[in-house]
Amino acid sequence: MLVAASLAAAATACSGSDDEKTKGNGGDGGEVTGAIRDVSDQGKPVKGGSITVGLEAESNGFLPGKSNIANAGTSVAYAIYDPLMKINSEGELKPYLAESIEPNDDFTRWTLKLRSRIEFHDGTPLNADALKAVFDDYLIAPGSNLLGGLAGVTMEKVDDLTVAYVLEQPNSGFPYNLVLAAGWPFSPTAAKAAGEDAPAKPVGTGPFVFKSWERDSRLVVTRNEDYWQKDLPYLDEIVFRPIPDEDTRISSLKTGDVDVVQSLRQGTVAKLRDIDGVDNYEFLGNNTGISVFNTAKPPVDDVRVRRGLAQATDQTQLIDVLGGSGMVPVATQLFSPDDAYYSEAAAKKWYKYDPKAAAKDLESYVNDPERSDGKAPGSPITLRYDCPPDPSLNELTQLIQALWNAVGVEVELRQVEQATHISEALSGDFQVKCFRAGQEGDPGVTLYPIFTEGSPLNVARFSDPGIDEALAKIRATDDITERKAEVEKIVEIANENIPAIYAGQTLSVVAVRDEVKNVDGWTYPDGSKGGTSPNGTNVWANVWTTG
Amino acid sequence: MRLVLTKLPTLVLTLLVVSFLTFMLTSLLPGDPEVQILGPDNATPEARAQVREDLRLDDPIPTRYGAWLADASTGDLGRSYRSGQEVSEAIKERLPVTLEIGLLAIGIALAIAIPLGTWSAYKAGTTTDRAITGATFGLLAVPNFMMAILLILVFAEGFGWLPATGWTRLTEDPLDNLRTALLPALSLAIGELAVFTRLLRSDMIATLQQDSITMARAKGISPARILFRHALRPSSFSLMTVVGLQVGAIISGSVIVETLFAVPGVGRLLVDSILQRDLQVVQGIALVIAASFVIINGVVDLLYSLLDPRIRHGRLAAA
Amino acid sequence: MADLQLLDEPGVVVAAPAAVPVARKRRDKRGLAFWLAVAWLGTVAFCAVFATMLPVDDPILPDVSSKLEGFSAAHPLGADGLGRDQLSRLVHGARVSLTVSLVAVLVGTVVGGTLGTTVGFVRGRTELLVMAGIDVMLAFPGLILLLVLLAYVGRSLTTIALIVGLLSVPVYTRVARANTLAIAQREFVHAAEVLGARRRRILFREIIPNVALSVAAFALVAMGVVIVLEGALAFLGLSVEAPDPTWGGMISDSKRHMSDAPHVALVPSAAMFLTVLSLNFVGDVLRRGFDTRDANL
Repeated sequence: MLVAASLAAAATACSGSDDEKTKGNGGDGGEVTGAIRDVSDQGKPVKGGSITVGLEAESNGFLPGKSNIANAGTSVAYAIYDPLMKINSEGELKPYLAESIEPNDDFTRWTLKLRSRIEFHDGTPLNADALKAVFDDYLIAPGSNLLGGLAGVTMEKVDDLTVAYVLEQPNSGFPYNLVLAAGWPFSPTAAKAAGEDAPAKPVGTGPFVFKSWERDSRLVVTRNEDYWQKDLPYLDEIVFRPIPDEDTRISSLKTGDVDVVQSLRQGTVAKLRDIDGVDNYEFLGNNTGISVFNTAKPPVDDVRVRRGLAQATDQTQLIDVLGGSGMVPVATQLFSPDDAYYSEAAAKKWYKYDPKAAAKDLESYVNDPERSDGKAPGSPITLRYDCPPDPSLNELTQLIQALWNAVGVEVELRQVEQATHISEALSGDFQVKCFRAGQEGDPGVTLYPIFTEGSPLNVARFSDPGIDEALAKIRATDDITERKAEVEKIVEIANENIPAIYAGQTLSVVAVRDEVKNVDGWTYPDGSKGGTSPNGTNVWANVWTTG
Repeated sequence: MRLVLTKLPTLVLTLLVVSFLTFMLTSLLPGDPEVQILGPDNATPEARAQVREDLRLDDPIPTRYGAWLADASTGDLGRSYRSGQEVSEAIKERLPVTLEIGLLAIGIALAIAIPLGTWSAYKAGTTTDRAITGATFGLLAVPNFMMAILLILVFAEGFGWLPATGWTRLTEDPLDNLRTALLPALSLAIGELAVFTRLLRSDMIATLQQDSITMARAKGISPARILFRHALRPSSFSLMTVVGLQVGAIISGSVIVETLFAVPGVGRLLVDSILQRDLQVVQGIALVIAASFVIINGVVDLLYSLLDPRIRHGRLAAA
Repeated sequence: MADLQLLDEPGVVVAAPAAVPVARKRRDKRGLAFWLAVAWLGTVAFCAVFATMLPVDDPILPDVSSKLEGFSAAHPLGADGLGRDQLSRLVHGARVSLTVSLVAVLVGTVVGGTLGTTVGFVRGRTELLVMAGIDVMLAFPGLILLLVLLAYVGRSLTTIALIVGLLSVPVYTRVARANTLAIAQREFVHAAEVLGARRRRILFREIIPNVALSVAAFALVAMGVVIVLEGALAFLGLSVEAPDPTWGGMISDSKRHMSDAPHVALVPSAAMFLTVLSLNFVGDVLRRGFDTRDANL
């Protein structure tokens, strides 16, 4: 779902090259800050108060399976729902709402145990029956938007508080699906009663109860007095306000109209750092802006062209134009340097900015009598680059166009509406597009849809038997060393074939007026720390305000 | 009353034509609604087929239009593809917001334009007039999103008097509602007041040269009285027509302002719905826009005949 | 689109009874301000036509190392978010702004003007039908038409200019018709009729010249409106496609740099401001020169 959200935001940029030695490398050897955590004195928890959160977008609804919930919606969802599992900022996956989850030996059966005596906001008990009703009637119902991740999965009731997810294929990373919408239990009784209006009336087990929603204006949640985590939440109320324009959202934080804002735009992150009286909780994760090639369409179906373009792109400049200079490191793969699966070896092999080498690769294609676009040898390569007209991407795409023009490729820039953009990506009606890819979580779950043939997320239409094999191995084991080796293989095969080139990792932020405290201080029920949530989402149970 | 009856067939005809055209045009747009509904990473062929079937997206266009029309004539505008919310609900929630901002904008604009335009006409040719002319032309030259941003910079960030974004419902808290409506309305009003001032001024200049005015001056009536009691009414035709057109145009014109100030208006809903291929909502809003346009222009025509006895009695009327 | 509808001034139609013309203090309006405005417009037009031959930097080639540079020797008007020279982009952008406004207004006035004049002269059923059609066009949400059309045909300079022009036709039709109706009432037309002139002759010799003048004066103001409108279109992502510079696009792109580098927004805004101001000013003066409303005829 996060990728969906990211795709919807559609970043662009492609560029590769640059030596990535360590975390915090801006590419030309310059240091970058990466994500910072610049917070004031936290002090002691205070009960009560209300905060207003400025989100980057409105959501269409909050019913898992029915509603397409993006990053902004996930922030709201975490107030009303509890996820069964949650990742902390170290990348570890642990049970949150669930008490435990255990696989069988070959990872085809996952037994999940619930905690006792938890109720939904409408009084319905959280038990196996409820989970199964939700699963069968909503999550895997025909037309559900979760059928991709839950393909071949069924649920069995084991006892009153235990269910088992039964998988057709082994998947050692399956529980990662339960961090997002598939793992947010909601009251089946309430959903049934609400019928068609269920997406607008979410009922979960979370720290806050849904109160009211004026679309495009405000969504209000109030404290859940019977929350299962004792003494939480601290806040009385949260008001979520979608403010789509980046600049007026920043203004709203400055004036105090809102207490919290989130953003995934490097430029905004930079501006938010400079505001006094504001604490910054940033996150640099696996999500990356990319320019994705349609490897099934000439001329980018030829790896020489892709390699030439990769070497013709200076990622440092792209990051500069996006506003991330000094903050965002260059990306060389779909993992950030902080991720356990990051591969140094693959990073070293990613393409440096080298227009001469680029020209050579491109020349070899141009002069090839059998070139895939059927043109006469010597005629220049022509490309169409599609991207939605997002303010921060406008300049980016023009820079890419100029960089590729410089090596003799004729690039036509085409701004497409979001809806057309996505449809073309799905139907393969494009040559190069701006996109985002990468997600926190288990590579078996996150990489699988990107490289599997026929998957909607495989926009590049790139697959490789070596990758398929590696993915199968990853999903069949939980041995971290083995998995890392296989992931490295995937990354190397991918980078050799260049289905996409990168434009800097996504640096996201949740910025708050400094009266708001403990923004990243959520903990698992066992007390272990959670940390900053990715992509501007946030968990609210442990947040308090002194304002 | 006769006016109302003659307008009714126009209303129905306009609604039919507009709704049909909208349906045709939006159905032929590239990009599929079901992909927007499912989200790009979940848009597997099976899921898409299911959603298309549920929404009958593959039926021929005339059939779908007919079905929509049948429902619409009973007041059922269907449900939004994206949110599932009833279209009539969505419009009911948001139309008053746009109307309030638009009417407030026009109100502010008129409140400033009438005295300014009158005075400018009275002082035609002098430095005062030229200054006002220059200022109004200048205001016309600023794109409305720039105006909005400048207003936020000055009044929200600078002075802190008004909020930068957000909306409070009139029914909840009228005072706060006014605070949230002021900057959006001002952004729209500033451009409009420039036009209103110019229009009133040029008509007023002509009126002031008429015999009746010369007579009034000869009788010794004070300038202020002449201006506002004798000259204003006959000079208002252009202004009225334009105000009428403006009210009709509020909805489309307020998109930018609604997006920047994060106001839940119907203009923003229209654009978002078009961009996300939420065709049900687009249909509903198009209908409402067309209807309001016809109704408002009908009202303006009515006002003409009230304002100008010549028209009421059948003499040549304005466009 | 809304703004263009503002130019429907049926007030012109209200037949002003004959009156003693007041001494015209307005004549001296053709003073310094007027000629300054003309000079500015001339400069803009010159830039628009000869942009490619002028000794300015490449407006399209990015130079990220100069990103957001202030006024300097290398960049007299500063550099934008991609390090491109603002002066150069302004000069090249003039072409887009002027072309869009010129073409849009030409289409509007020619098509709308002809339609309105014909219909206002001929009257009868044709008039009813055409005006009904015009009313429907006006009732149709222009935004939908704009978004849909541009999604289909793409956003080139010509398409955008033509579409904006077409969308403004109803307004010009109304204006032309209103003017025609008024002029047709005037004494000199009655005089021509009495003298036995054929209808066609009346149309071409009496009516059209007068209507055309009024409409033309409005057209100059309308050009200013379209130039500003282009800014709104750029903000909505509906203006001419990148990387060609347009003034509206420059302003829109500069929005996110406002806190760091306000000069990036100020420069194109100032250019647009001065141009629209000049157009309005010149249009106003010309209109007053040709306005026959308070003449004795």
